[in-house]
Amino acid sequence: MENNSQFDNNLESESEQLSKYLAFKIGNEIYGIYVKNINEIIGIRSFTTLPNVPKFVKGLINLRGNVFPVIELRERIGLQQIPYTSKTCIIIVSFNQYSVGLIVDNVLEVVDIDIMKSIPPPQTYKGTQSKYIQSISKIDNDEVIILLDLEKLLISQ
Amino acid sequence: MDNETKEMIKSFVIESLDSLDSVEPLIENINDTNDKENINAVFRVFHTIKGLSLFFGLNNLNALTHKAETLLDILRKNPSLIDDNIISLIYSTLDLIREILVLVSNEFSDEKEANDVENILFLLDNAINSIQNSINENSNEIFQNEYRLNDIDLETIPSIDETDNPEEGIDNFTEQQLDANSLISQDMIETYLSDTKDYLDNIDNMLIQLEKDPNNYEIISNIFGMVHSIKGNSGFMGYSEIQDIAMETETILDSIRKNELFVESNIISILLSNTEAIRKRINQISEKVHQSSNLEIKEKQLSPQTSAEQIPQQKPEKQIEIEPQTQEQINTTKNQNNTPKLDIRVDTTKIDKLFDLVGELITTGNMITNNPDLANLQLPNFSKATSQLNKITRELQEITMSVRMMPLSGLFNKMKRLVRDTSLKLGKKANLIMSGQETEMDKNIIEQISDPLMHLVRNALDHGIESPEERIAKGKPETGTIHLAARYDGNEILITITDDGEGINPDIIKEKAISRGLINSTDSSLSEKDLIQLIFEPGFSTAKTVSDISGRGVGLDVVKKNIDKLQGSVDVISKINEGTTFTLRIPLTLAIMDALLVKVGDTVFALPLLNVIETFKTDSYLITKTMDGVEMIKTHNKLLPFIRLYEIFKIQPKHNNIEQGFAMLIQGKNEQCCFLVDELLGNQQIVIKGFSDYIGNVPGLTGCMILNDGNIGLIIDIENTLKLFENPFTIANEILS
Repeated sequence: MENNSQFDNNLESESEQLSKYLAFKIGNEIYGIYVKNINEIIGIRSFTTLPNVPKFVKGLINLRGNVFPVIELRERIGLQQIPYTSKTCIIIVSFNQYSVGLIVDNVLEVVDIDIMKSIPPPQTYKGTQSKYIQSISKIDNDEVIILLDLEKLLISQ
Repeated sequence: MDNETKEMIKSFVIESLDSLDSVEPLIENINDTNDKENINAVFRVFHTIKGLSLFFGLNNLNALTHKAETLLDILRKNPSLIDDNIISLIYSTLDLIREILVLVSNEFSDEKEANDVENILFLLDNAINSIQNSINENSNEIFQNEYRLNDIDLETIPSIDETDNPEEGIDNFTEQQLDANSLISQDMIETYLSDTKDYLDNIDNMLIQLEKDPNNYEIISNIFGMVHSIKGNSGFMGYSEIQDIAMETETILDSIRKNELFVESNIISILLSNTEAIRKRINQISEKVHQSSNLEIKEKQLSPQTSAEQIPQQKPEKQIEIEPQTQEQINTTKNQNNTPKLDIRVDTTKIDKLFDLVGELITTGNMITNNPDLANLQLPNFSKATSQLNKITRELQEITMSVRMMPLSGLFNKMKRLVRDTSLKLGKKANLIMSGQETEMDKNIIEQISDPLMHLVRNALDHGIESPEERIAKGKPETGTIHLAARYDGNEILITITDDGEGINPDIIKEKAISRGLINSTDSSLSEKDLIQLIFEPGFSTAKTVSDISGRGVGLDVVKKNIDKLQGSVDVISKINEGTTFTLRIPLTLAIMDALLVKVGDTVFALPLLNVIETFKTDSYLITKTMDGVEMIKTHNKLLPFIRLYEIFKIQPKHNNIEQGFAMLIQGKNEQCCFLVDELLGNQQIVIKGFSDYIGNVPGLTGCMILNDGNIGLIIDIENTLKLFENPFTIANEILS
């Protein structure tokens, strides 16, 4: 019994430091979104384009009777749109009252990230798009992952 | 405070607000000496709130209702002393109680309203004192009044003093019951009986809990509170025996509370036997009530010779004389009376959810019925099944809609009060006539038209109805009339507010409009009707002076905006010195509509079917293009704006040729126009879905819908689209904002 509870405690303290992020690729960079904000991942599918909305809002998709707006994440973070491939996915995320689909190039896997060891975005960088970065961290094979700040990504203009 | 108590307080607040709403319209008539029911109903509501607020420790509320109750009690005996001031005072007391209740539901305390309570208490005290004084002055007269009351009581008692109940004391309370009958209505007794039964069931449950958990102070006070309510209500209703039992029970509970008595199983048994005794009496009363109410009905319905039978069940030898048919009649009426009220309270979010699901069901049903996989197949059995499915979903939709439907009477009754208060304030005389208050509307929509309607009624009094002197000078009756009417008209509800006041003078409107720069002074093309429409412009008011009621010009444009939001419209017709009529047109429901589906490029659009007058093939020689690039089409001998939807919505069309597309003649609110589309798909009942919060409003569109193939169609907002057409820059602006 005692051993068991000891073991549980260890587990708990472990999971407190590590957070799970969904890693995906846009271009050559790896990005991450906190898994608790993710509802589901679906393959790219046809959507209804909406007139008279900002350019990065691609349109609407119907997912089992619910209508979600779809955002081209590339354009939202200031990159050029590229043609969709079989690897292009839509990640349905929820933040506060917003539920939105994000189009990404390629979804990788769920990774454990030690938030305490991640670093803030570089201050010297002057680009406007870095405001969407929550922090920058490393995954197992020493690759760099950019963790996105969903609040800023969805709400800020 | 534990959650259970909070729940109890919440339901107390909801119930109290409900009963306040139901008695509010009666207040106006509490001085009606012929119908004492009005004042009694108000009294009873105050009394109930008083009892429960004491139980929940809401001292301010308790003090307030107690004082109000005292006042009403005096007035009840002296209805002749009720004047306008007292009625106003009762109204403001009611308002304050309502405010306190709202506060209580949020904070579970009524401390914050202490100042207001003191003010009203002071006024109530004054009123009570002044009435007491005038009573003393006329004490002789009052004595006579009371004497007369007693006379009536004596008359009513002998008619029903026979009972065959073996229980001791039953005779006693039957008399009291009938004595009280002169003051207390059937409804009140029914409510009392069902309330008390509920209390008794709860008390029994709690007593059993208490036996297991003898030191739970909470349970004891809960029981105490309920017993106390029974005592109070029974006292009021005049069932002194029940009151006595309740009092005895209360005493025992009090000793337990003070730790003078310990909870043991024999104590619990005594308490349980007490509740049983009360229950027995309650059941007897409810039997009696139903008997006597049957008698009343019988007396009204049957021929005089049968109505002579007073109590058929107790006089068997005479019962034989009743024809079998009439006996049946009695049975049916009895059954109706015995049916308990089957109301339940349901959280509105659950109903909204149900409503959404029915919407989904309709969409899915359409997807199955019109499934592309089944196109061109001969499936007789399948079509039979789907038509059955469609029938059921349609019925389900109607029922679900009806759940949210409420009669307009609640809203209209508010207006009664408004007219009274406002006309007093303005020194005008006005009668409010209402019709069609039984018309039902979606609850959510009723809430949203409440403010606009109040604006319009207030306006009618302030700007419409003249002062009594002015009216007499004009040869009109001194008292003005405001007619509030509602009726169904197709898919819409029409609400009209008509006054017989001075009307709107188009010349004054014109003057104002020119001085505000709304129109050009040389512009003579505007008709009287057009001029009157200007009153809906922001910042427009024709009142000579700004009063505290209306006249700042913030009214009508807000009314218009709110009604527009509901996809409805406001119209006004006015004749000088004859009066003004405002007409509100409001769609029955917002969520589902009949639409015509069209295709532009690859996008499917839906237009409200009501707005489509016709569709036709057209030719380019009918089109005229101005130098601004605005196109006009000649049709039906009119020149109308010609709008290519693909331009407005920036879509790549299938064909640019006008000949290949279809033109649609569209009726906007005030104007007509033509839309050009690629293809017509047919009409269908659609379920409107909003764009997500993330996108918010999209210029030119109301929302979206799910098509039979699972794709999404866009619903066109015609008014908004016309605006986009008039001013293409708004598109750019709205995207930037």
